Amino acid sequence: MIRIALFTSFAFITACTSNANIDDQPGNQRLTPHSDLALVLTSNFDSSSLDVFDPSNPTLLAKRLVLVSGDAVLTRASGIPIIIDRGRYETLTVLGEQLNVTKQFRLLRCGPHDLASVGPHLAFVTCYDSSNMRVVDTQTGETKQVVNLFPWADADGIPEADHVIRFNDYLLVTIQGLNRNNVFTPTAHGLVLRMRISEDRIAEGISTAELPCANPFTPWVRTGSSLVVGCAGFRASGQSAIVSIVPETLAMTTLATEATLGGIPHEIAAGQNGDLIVLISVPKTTASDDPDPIEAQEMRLIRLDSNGKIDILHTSLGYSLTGLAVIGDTIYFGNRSNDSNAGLWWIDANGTHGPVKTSMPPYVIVP
Amino acid sequence: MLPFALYAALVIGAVDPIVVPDITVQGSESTTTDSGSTSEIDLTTHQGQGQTVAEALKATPGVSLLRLGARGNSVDVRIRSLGGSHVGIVIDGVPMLNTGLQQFDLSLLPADGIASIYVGRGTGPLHLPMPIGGVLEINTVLPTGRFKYGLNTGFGTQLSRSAGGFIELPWKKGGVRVSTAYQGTQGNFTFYDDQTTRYNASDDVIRTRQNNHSDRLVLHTRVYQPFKHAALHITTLTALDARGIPGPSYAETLHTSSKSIFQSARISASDVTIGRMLRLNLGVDAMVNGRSFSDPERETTLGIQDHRAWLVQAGADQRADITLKHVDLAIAGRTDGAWFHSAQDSATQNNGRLQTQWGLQSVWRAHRTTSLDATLQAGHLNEFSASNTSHWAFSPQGGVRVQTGPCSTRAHAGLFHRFASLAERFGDSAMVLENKNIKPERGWNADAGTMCKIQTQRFGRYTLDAATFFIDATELVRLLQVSRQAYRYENLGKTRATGVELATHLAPWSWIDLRVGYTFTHAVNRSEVLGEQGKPAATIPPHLVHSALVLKHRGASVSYGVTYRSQTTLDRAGLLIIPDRTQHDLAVRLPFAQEWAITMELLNITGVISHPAASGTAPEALKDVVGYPWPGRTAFVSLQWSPQ
Repeated sequence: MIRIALFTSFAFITACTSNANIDDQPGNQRLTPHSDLALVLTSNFDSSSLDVFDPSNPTLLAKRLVLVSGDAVLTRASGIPIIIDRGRYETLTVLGEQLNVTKQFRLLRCGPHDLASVGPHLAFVTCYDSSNMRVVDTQTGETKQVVNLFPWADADGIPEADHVIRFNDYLLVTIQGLNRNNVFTPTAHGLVLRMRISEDRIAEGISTAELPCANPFTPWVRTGSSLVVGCAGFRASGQSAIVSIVPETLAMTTLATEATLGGIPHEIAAGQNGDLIVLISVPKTTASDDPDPIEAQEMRLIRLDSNGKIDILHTSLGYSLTGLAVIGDTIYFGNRSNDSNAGLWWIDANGTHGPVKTSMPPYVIVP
Repeated sequence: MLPFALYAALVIGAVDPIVVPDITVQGSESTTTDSGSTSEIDLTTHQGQGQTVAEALKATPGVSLLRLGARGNSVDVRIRSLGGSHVGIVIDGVPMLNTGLQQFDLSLLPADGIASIYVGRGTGPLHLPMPIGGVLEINTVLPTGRFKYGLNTGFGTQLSRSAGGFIELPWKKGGVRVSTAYQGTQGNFTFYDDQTTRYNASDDVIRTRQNNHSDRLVLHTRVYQPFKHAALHITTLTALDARGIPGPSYAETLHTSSKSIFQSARISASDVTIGRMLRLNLGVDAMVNGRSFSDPERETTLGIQDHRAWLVQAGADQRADITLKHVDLAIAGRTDGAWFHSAQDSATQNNGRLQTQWGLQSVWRAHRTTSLDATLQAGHLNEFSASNTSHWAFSPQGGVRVQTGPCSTRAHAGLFHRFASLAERFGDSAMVLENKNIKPERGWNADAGTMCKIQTQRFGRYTLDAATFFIDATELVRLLQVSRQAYRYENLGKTRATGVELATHLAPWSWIDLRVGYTFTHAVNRSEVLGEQGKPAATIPPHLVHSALVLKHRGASVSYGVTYRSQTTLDRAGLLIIPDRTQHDLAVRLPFAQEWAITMELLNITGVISHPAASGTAPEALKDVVGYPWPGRTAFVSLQWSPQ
């Protein structure tokens, strides 16, 4: 009997457990999510989530609307928000008007990096980890057309097609040409490929132009009748620049070099009066005791006017500013610092404001 | 209530308690702090069944195991919510904790070849830097001086397989033991690809997981020779691991592969007694840890075709135990010289360091039943790089232990430190930069607990271990992006964890054995990264229960295990939520023809592999680690031959 009593006592005590729920802290839901609002993809590179804010009152956010991988970016195709899970995740997530997920599909062996609308529900997707590009039906996930870019690949066989933009009937794609066998070092100057869209397909024939800089990195920016792209070079090797391109002729003009910028361009947005708003990183000085030009000393938000004049609008230590958008006359940018400065910031006629806390450090801002 | 029930029974004289002395094996006792929370794993129910050290740790309070996929694949061990480099692993006196390349995989080691396992929760050996989570001290079987041998093999679903054997040869008063074990799996099992099924039930296609293959081999030799005033040990351990790497999130495994090798060798002299007061333990060891990652088809975004890292470490440790009238003094030290080579594609890097750790502990036997201990650990680091650097760290600790009848009550508190590993300090020669300013991880912890061991002739054996703990850690090392092209380890992490650990072992009759372990953990991420502060620590369930009932008779046994993990999250921001689940496992062992035994295991009997996702959507895969879906029902049959 005593054995049974002891046995039962032990068993009873240790069997008593409860189930605890983890508070998922859904965040501020006062703002009704809608695709017309400005979008912020936030990420700590472990996971990412989508927030939205009202540009007329950026303090009003709705958070954690969609959860995606830690290597995701955000764009729009024909106004429809699409999240691109890059690299291994290889997934496109198409959002509806209420920012609900309407479709999600994999693009195996692609490594999607960017997309642009080709036609209704058709998107041209750059595959960063393949020598092919794809035209994909964003309703079904079906690949409608494959474009071979192998002729523009460097020795490792992959051209690293990065950003794409539609300009009238043209598609322009930046080619980085990084050597994956040598820590992604650019092997030559970057390229711009121009394709023609005909009846929702990519027509035969691709025009090529060499950029006057290496490793084109920023998304394309439309400025009137031309496009602008920024090269990141490789570390602080002096191969960075901001370049303007006329799509019809592929004529190029260097708007600013790494030396005139004082750093490496990371993101560009079209400002007022033909100005460009640029996020640059300033590499650490190459002092003899710190020969480390790869690391960012600080980041600067600058205004580059049509005469090449630069105004510094904001600075932040370290590799901390990511995400840039201009809506009206207000500049929005993200701060990823691991301190109280992290969050959404904006600059308007009244000065610099922020931060508004996003669900995670802001990574991509899309108007 | 449990202690009260026991004490009530004792007080009224209903039972006749016998205090069970701690079982120690010569030269292999735990070297952790006297008043810390240390569990000694009872291996008797795990040996002879083809199980590994990882399985033997399941019911240990404070320990959480995360298996990466199918049986035969590797297991990550967490203690008190912390894993990776925060858990130290010491095998036959060789610390496997300095590499920074990966945690030594305990599922490589078969339980059959293990003599003892001590789990120091929040505590560790005097002569080693103490990782905040704790330290596992594993001691392999000493050769007995008799000729023995045995073989085993097994096969199961998902093409999981195992094979192993050992031979012991007598040599003078000691002997030589050589053992080897192989485990593998093809890893193909069904799982829900939640990226394609998540939002459309019509797409609810169960895919077959590809390339979660794993092949692992371990070879261990141990030479033991006792002399009059000392004992000589020579041990070598070689572990090879080759496996596919799945995508880090929902993606299925691609064609990447990872290979690693651990090789260690140690010569030590234990129990060198000089007079009546002084006892010395001396050891010299060397370890090589190599790891390579390859992506031959370069289909992934990593873009790394070949990454290799090697660590060569040579260490010498010494411990002197001095016994005075009321005070036991222990002085322990260890010096490690390590060389680290990292090569990624065409870039290479070589770095080295000399690390010395000293520990001084005094245990004052204040009373027949009470002892107080005070410990001071001091570490010094000298690095050989372009800019030689030198660091000191000091960690005082103290505690008390009171023995009352069959129970000992303990309380322990102190500071800890851990120097960054070589990989964390020097980077990987390519995308991960060195951080010459990286600081040691620091913090403090406190715990208190009771352990009761009762063994009676009439009423069986009962053990209770209860503890509560608090950990506050800062400067935890974490990878941070520092430019578009580069990362660096920084002192970014902060965590605070409190918890309760309970473990019971009930054996009222010789044919029944019930073990129940329960761990409550409230671990909070206090990192200042936006969106992470206040979130629960990833992959740590607040409630973890493991129970196992074993019925045995003349070598035959039936064991039934139930593991409950409450809802947890998989990411630092607490967004990837995995609901609670219960796993049922059954194992039957049948001996036959005197020398043979067959063991049949059925794991995850209910076959649960998914959980409901958002309303109206298809199920999502269950997983403990992102990228590693949980396998379904698994069967495994193994055959053992032990002709002694």
